[in-house]
Amino acid sequence: MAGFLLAALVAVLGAAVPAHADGAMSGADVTVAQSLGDRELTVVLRRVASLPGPLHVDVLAHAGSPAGTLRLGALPSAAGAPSSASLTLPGTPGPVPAVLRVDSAGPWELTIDDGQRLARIPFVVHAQSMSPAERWVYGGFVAAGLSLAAALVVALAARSGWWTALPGAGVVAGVAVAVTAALLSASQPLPPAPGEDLDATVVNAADPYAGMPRGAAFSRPPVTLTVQRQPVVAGAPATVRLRVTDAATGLPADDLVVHDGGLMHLMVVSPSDRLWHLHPIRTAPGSYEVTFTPDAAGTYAVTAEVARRGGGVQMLRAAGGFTATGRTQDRKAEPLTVRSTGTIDGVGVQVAMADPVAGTPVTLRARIGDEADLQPWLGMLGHLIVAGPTPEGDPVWLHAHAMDDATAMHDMEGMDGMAAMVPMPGVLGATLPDETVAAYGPAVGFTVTFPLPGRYRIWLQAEKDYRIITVPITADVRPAPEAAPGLPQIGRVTPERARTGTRDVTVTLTGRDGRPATAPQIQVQAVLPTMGHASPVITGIPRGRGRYAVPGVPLMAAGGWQLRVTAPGSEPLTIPLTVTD
Amino acid sequence: MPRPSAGVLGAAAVLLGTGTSLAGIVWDVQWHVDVGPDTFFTLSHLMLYSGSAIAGLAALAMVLRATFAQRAGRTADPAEGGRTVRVLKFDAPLGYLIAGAGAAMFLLYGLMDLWWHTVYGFDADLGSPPHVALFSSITVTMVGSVIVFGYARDRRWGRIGLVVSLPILMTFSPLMLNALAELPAPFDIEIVSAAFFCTLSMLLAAGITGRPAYAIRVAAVLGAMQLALWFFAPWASHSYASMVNLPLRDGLGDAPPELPSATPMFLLVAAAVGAGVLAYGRRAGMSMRLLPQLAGAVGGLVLAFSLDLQVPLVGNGPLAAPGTLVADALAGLLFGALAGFLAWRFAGLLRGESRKPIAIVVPGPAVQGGLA
Repeated sequence: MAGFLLAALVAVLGAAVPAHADGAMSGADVTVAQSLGDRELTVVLRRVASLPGPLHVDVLAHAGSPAGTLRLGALPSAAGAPSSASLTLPGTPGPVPAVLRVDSAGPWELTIDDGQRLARIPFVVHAQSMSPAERWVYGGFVAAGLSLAAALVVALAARSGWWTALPGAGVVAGVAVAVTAALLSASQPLPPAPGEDLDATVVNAADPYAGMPRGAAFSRPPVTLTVQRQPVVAGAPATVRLRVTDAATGLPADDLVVHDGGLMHLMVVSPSDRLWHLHPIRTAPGSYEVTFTPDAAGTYAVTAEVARRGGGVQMLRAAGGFTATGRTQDRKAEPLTVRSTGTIDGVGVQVAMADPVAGTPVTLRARIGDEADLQPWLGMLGHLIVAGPTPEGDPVWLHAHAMDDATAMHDMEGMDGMAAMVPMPGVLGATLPDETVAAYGPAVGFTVTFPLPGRYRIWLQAEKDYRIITVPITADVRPAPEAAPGLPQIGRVTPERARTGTRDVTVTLTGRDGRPATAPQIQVQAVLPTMGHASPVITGIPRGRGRYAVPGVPLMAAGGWQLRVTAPGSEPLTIPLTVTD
Repeated sequence: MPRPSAGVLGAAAVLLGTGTSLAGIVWDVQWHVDVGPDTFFTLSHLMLYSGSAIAGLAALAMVLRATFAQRAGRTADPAEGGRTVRVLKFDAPLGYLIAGAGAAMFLLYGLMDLWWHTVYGFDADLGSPPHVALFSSITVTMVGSVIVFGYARDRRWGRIGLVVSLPILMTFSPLMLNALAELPAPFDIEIVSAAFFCTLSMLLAAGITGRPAYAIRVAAVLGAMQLALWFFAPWASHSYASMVNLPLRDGLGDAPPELPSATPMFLLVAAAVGAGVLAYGRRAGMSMRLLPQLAGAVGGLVLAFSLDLQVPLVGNGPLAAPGTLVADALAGLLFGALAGFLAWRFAGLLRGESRKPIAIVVPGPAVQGGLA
């Protein structure tokens, strides 16, 4: 028994990593955006609670999606029986439920058939599984129960009472093992998630702890995006077919995982500077297609964001994009400038951004409509797509996500008197409700850094009334003033561990010569690399001996943050900062 | 200050165990309501399981103490776990034997629960067979604890323990009685069974001690326990969720805490009425063969009706239809009478006087008939 206890302690303490709270192991809900024909759908696969059991699917149609019937199917990739259901979209936005049936753990596909095309969404059905720690807990308590029963019998039957010591010790040991394992069970690391880190199989979906590889690297080679050559005519619906292949073997890459609420986020920019943010359907392994109506003849730029199983989002650019023939578009949509107001799809929009300088973070703040009725889209309040500098063939593409309202509101220049904000958790790391909750905004903010000078095209996207509002903006980015690069400095932050929230920190800078920094002020930005998030710039105030007080650093989520520190006359510094809940 | 006797310590340890189990289950039920299915072995589960382990170990120690004494040729103090029953070679104190057996059963049924959850998932119903078995096992331990204190009714600690252990059992009872909810009945079976169980428990206190006022004391302690758990349950589940970084469920309204809101809020009224019937009936010279049933019937009626009222009062749902209200009250009356009958029988067993009806002590002229 004592040996068991020791073994349990060693096994569990050996790899103490904070618990993952997203619960992907027990199967969280999966939300996938799908551009199916002329419908923009959000498909939500609810967690499968028991096997065999129902798979609840909600299909939410955006405004403008026509009414009609969709045929849904749950198709096992390895083992199980297929099931199907149909649902009728009423033609008005909102979710429509359907129930399918799944009967075994493993990789599955959800098929959505609109009569003309078939979208195949891969998903994993997880069986209930128990961590080794929990097995120790139950085992310990059961051993204690058995020993207790035995001890009672021995106490009443044995000639000598000391015989009871044997099962009695068993009770104590069993309880000790169980309590120890129970206390450690919450901090036990999760095994690699089938479907996310590893290819899902019938075996690992049933028990992810079975044959769990230790210390394995999950990362895979990059993928290549190609656009199938086919005639595209402006003004008529066109189907664009895309192939995703492994950059090492050339085989179809069929391991894209859902990230930011989609399997693939496709950005298409027309010669008239219009942006489509689409979610191509998967029609076969490695094959995707999307239908849209090009508005002008000319060359379309195509980029896609995907995440491959094993981790890491990548941005793919289809070299050359594709070309549409037909009529040319004379009138380009007039984009907003960085400080202007306009009306997009009948919604009043205000935009404010300081004059951008290459290499310097700048915050773009916008106000969409007058009420707090924006809906989270793809898990975010807003998306900012940036392409530029335009005359040079758009070498830079960016995709930033909105910060929370509080940050967006922070000293919003020239835009006082905003409507009262609904309190909301920080967008980062917090669980935003789904897009049926229209309670956010109207202010959204993004902080981006334009790496090169020149003219950039920017599209800001947010959802309102189940409609995606796309705000085109142009920005001219000035070159950074020539400055002799200084020597790097040594930077420290105190505290080195902070709790989530808006925190005051102190940054201490020392030159390579050992002397404290003397800059009159420093610029600090909080960056959460895993989320691709950068905060607005905060000015640090000198406190003597190289110390700078940095007030109000927005650390909204737990994780490994970075402080990007810029001091005049020296190279920028990156100081890591651990943030815990 | 005199050293506490082993009897007090053993009884207190079993009570600590059952109290721990109760707090654990109240927390756990609230956790499932507020947060969701378990993805690891939660602290509330640990508390639930530890409660049985504590009670089981304490019971084992007391059984051992009794058998050691017999091996040494001494006879055990009847106030230490009470009357002994001959099992195998030795006489075992009944209360601890039952408490220990319940604890062992609970820990063993954990395995069945584990298997059930593996087959049917973590969202299995509260009334699943292994859950009913687990709740019944805890109930057995709690009954053992009541027996231990019942036998020590002559000691002050025994009577204090009685008015604490009975409310623990009563607060826990809706979980076990939940298993009956699926049975077809012309009345609300959960409400009537709760009325039956609570009437039985408070009259048991009166019967064991021979003092009607103990029914009121039990009701008062139950009320205090309900108040404390009312605040404990949401606090514990919310602070634990924030500790382990799990979000609360979407759309949590201001529903009352699940288990504490099922505890009768008007037990004091029912207890006062029941105790009053006992006291005045006795003073009026009514037969003790009939009086407990009468007190039980009145108490059961008040409880069933007040439990129906409690549903809309705490915001758990609308008031039942008039027909159901009448049916519940009638069933409460009948089952209350049965509870009164059983309470007096059980009390008689604990007092070792099963043949003779228990007299009761009431203040005033009828005192001489009492059994103080």
